[in-house]
Amino acid sequence: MSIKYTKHTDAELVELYQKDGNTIYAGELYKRYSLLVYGLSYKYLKHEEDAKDAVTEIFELILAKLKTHEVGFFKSWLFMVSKNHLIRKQAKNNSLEIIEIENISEKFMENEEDLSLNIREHESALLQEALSNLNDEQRTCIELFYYQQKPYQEVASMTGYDLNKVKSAIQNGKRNLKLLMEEKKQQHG
Amino acid sequence: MDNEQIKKYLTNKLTAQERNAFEQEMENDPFLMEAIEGLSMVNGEWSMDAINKVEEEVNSTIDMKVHEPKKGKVISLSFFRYAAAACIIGLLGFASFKLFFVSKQLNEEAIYASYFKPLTNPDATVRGENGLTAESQAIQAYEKEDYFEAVNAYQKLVSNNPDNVKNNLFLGISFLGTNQPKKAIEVLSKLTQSEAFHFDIKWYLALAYIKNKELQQAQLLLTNLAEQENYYKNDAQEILDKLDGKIASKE
Repeated sequence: MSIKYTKHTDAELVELYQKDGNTIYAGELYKRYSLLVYGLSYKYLKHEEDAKDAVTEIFELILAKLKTHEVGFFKSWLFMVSKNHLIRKQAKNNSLEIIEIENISEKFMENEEDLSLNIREHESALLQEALSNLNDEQRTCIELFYYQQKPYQEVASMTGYDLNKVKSAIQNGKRNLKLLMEEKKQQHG
Repeated sequence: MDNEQIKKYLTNKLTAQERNAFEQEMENDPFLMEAIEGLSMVNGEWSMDAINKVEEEVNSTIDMKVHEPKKGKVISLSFFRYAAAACIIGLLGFASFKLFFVSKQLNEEAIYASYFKPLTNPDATVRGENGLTAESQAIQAYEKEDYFEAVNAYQKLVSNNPDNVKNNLFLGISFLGTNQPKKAIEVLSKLTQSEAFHFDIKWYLALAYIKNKELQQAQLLLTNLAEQENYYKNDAQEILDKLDGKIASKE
């Protein structure tokens, strides 16, 4: 990242690029997320060189799309553009029909739902009540991760669960908590 | 979350408290979560040197794109290179028919790419609401340019109410967004008699035909749009001018 642009926000760099089409602005902006795009690309393509190529392809897409699209929050928009490109590329590589997308989309929707769990609500009595209704595995992992602020690996060591189990217990626990809290709100409301 | 923090996380340079903060952010940021999953698949135990090298490689390809020389640069040829150039020119001449055909295909793609812009949804709502209706989910996916999800959502809406012109139109545009022009044509061609969104339907159907290399069908629609007062009039005329020779040569 050039020192010259480090103080610019994402939105400012988008605006500068859209004004005069100078690719330096878009390049500086994109490099802020280059490792994320590379990691995401590898996750879908499972091949290092393909993932590096995808980073370049996505940058070319960004250069073209930024000229014609209004972008509210660049990082979220980049995620969607990247994901769409990678799913298409993955489907093409595996000769899959687009029909497969439905299941993938549902998976993404689960992630979106996770976002709505507000950690500040931990203090509420409602959340405590919901927490007590989780199974032991999920409750323990949620408590260690959010209340005691232990990293995944430490939660794994303390509970004896493997790392993947810890991560899925936290994700499933959050989703169940959200559902339980909605139920409780309806009962109380 | 910047690249430096990501590198520190992957190379175990964060304290337990910092790791937890990073992981809490991952839980709320699907982009970060999936990217870390991917990076951990590349290498389970990153060293700072290794991750710096990958970052450098990736960023240098971005820099190359940024600083790619503009077309039209004049290159001076040495005496001996003239002979090679003459050979290449000969070969190019020999293969001119083939090259002409390829460039025509590229032109169709280029026309489509430079004119396709998603139509703004008239019912766009505030994002992040709980309890979204099926329609607002479709609109949100469309607005976020998640066209696969938009296709999925609009297909459900259309199957519940096949006569809703607006949902059919946005399904058609979403099909275009997912690079499925045939399906877009299938949906949009049923709507051409509709008064609602009349010009939008014709415009996106014309683009779908261009994408699908059905230029004569596109020409009919574009001529109609260029003859009437509407938002797409000038763009339609521009494309007709570009397509003119191509359609004639195909006939």
